[in-house]
Amino acid sequence: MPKSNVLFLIHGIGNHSDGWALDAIKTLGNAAKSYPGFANANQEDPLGDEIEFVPITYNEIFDALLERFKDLAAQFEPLNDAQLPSPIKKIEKLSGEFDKETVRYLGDAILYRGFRLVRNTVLLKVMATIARKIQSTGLSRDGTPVKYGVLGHSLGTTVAHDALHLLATTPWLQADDALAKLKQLTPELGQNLADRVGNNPFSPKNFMFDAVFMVSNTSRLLFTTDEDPYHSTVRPVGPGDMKQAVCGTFYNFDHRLDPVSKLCKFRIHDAWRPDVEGAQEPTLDHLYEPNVHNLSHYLLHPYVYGPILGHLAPSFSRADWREAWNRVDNGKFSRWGPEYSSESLRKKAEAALTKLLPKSSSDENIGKLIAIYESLKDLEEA
Amino acid sequence: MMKATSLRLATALFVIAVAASAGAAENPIIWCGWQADPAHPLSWAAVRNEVQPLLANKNYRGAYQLILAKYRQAQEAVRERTPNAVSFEAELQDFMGGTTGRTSFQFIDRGPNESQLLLKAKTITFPCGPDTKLGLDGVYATFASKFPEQTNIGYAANLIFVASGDEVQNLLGPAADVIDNRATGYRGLLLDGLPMWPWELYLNGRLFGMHSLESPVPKYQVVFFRPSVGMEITWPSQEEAKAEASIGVEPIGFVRYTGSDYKNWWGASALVTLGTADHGAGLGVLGRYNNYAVGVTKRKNTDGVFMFFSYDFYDLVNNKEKRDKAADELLGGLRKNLEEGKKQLESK
Repeated sequence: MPKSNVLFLIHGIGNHSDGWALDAIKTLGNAAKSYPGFANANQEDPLGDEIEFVPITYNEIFDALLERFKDLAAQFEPLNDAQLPSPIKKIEKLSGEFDKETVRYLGDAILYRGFRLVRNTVLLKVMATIARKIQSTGLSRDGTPVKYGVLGHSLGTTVAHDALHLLATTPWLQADDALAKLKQLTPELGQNLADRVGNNPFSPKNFMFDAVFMVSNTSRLLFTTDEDPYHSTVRPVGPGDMKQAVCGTFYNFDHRLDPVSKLCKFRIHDAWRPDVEGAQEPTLDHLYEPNVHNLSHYLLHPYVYGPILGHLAPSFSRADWREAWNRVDNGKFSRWGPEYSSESLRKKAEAALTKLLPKSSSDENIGKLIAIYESLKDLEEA
Repeated sequence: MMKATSLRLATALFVIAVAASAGAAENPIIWCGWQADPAHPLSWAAVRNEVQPLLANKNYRGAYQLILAKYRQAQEAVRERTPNAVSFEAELQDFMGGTTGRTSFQFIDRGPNESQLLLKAKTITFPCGPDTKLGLDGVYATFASKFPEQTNIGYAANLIFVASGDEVQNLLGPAADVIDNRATGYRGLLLDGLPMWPWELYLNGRLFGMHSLESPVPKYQVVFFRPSVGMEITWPSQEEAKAEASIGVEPIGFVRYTGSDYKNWWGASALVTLGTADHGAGLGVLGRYNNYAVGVTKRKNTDGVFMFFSYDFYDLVNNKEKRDKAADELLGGLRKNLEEGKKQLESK
């Protein structure tokens, strides 16, 4: 049985193998199981017939590229230092640096932000995966529209932003003249398609994601598109800007203590006020683990999984969705995880995270972002 | 006769089987997560048999006209014409005329309590939850009985959205092919082509900035201050033959790719060499084919020309698998041979 709807998942900085999204999917499944709509679902895989998860990876491009740099620098190793001019010596020393974890972290953000060829490769991979999946799944099934969602986490929010904007605004069918070929083969159909659909079937007038979920949004710090995230097409459709938006509803999930999203913080009210009806930015301040930036930690919160399931899982009824909101208000969802039962532990954890929050706007750069990632990792390990 | 009867029977059975399988997937979800009522005259179940053949023949205009006619018929039964209906019909007309897109008819879920249709002229809100003011209990049947006109709009919007999805589907494949092609091209250039130093990567990215993503991936690459290890050889006479490890730097050059997989290329560069022995810097040109490069340089204080062979060229000559080891052994070996050769000549 084909799954109902599709959610593309785009990861953040760091190493992500093919199974990187399993934790997140499991967290969503566990949340779904606690609602009446899933009482009869397969408890091992409650979302199995509901949502097709499509995790997209791109960090292998960064890794392969850093390996290439490393190999280039390594060619000088057989020569001794005395034989090398000083600039070459510096380059040669770099080969040892490329294996360091910091460089791998730094590499992801810097290679993406600073090198057009790299980001073209990354963005095209993401766009190709999305486009092919939509084409193969189709836009409707037995009279029901298939719903598509995109979830980006951390650097993945920037990649999602840039990819969705380009997917929606690039005239893909102009270059290869596919429409002209079609007009030659079937003149009437070709002309009709050219008139009604145009040169991009993924443009907002032809296709719209039901929802975009940005988790710990970094897009204002790292975006690479001609339009910044406050003015690009990656926003919810509203009555005033018909057919210029890539999604029906836009969620900006930002934990109060997550330092990553505070660098060039994305604020819905700054972005689209007063037309913010289709955008939501719920307050998140739960604490279940030291690294509140983790995607799975975000997904524990009913304000986060509620909309994801509400938009994409058919068995998650509107009553279930309302129940998710209520669980925060009525305390059924505890703000503190089991490991933070004591007041002193909470205060300690909060203080450690508060220390990482950027102090001023001059702090808002990629260097600070990397420092925050390292500190979060340290917190996790401690 | 028997054969014809069997064929008719088989055809009839096939038609029944297809119809049954299609029926099994009925009751799709409409707005607010509600299941559609198959008895509604604008439900997919009710119109499928008429709409599907039109879609199969790619007669989309015919399908839209049919839906519009059925919608008008349903609204006539309601005998009501609110601003919602006026706006919706205007949007339908705009859509038929090609001035608005299909996403006008996409239901937008705004949280658990409402779905919306965002039309040009106005937003039509479909309340999903209990609402004492409107007398709604969050159940489809109550909504449909209280707001039959808006219910018709909801069904018609869904039909147009589904039918127009079929039309757009025609171009999703060609567009996905173009994106795939560009993705493969950039990946090939980046990871299979001539490896770039970071500053070359940056410069080429700046140059390629002129190319938009929908255009084919460029088939060239600029070489810029590219250092590499090689060997320089000169042989003005047998006695004076020299071979030394050398650092070559290509201040400027280019590479032209010959295939769409970016695995083959040729190119040329200016070349500056700095040998490990004290013969001064060499100036010349370098030609490149795939990983192999040969250059010719001239040095100020030395007669004759030097040949520069890049690292990978030596790899080919010696058929060594490990590039690092090969170069290391080669440099040491050549130097030793030359020294021995010189000693032999001197002793003679």
